[in-house]
Amino acid sequence: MIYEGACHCGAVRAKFETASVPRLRFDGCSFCARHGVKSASDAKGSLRLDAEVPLTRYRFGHRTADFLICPVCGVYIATCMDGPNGPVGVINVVGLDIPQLRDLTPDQASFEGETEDTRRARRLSRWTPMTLSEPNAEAGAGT
Amino acid sequence: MSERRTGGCHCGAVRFAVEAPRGAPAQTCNCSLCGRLGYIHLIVPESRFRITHGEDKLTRYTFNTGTARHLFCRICGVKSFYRPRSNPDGWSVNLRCLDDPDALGAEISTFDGRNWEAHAGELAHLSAEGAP
Repeated sequence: MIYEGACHCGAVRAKFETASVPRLRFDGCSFCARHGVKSASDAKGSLRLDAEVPLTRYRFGHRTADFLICPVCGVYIATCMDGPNGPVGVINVVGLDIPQLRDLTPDQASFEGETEDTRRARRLSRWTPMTLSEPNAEAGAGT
Repeated sequence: MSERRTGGCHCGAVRFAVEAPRGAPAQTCNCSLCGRLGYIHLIVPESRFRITHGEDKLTRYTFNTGTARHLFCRICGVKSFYRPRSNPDGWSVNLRCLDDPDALGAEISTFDGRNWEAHAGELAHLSAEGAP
């Protein structure tokens, strides 16, 4: 199944393909609480992000991943990091307004207390292999 | 009685202060923008809101009629407050961005922003000076 969405202004579009029924997560962290996030990913799926403008990258905490934000409308799109086989990412189905997913109830998760290594391993086992296309930036998670 | 409450974006660049009584009304909204942000409105009169830090870090976004002035932190993207089209004489604070949202004990209702014209009048009184 292919799920498609976009930020409010339309400058960023996402295409998330997965053979599984997506399970949404809300981790309750201070960033996700402020942005009203529900997250989805599938390590066996694929994700493509197409941006018409260079995205805002925000880092906090362990600073091991880029939180991608549309610089035009402020919508939080996805988070990504580089893995051994290329970038992997997790999307915000609320910010992308994916109709089949946005209203589903998320599982509560908490990743507090993870070490940097544990966090990276968890992400690599769950996040979606992805490509990112944006102007003035090479495809990939970037830094 | 209104109490002073503080809040801000995630990275800390943008901070605000707002006066609101415990149990103040707040609204979720299903419009195309609020839906994407999970925005929860706490609408107050002009005199009860103040930007205390980081006004220069705000990016402005407008669409449709251009009346509402949507503002978000250009570093972390968080929309802590804005000038709503329904209440251009006041401010809407994002309940999610209060330092202690639970302490407000807001009475949260749903606002049908997808049919804005039919319902905006329900919110107009919230920015009137002298509102409780």
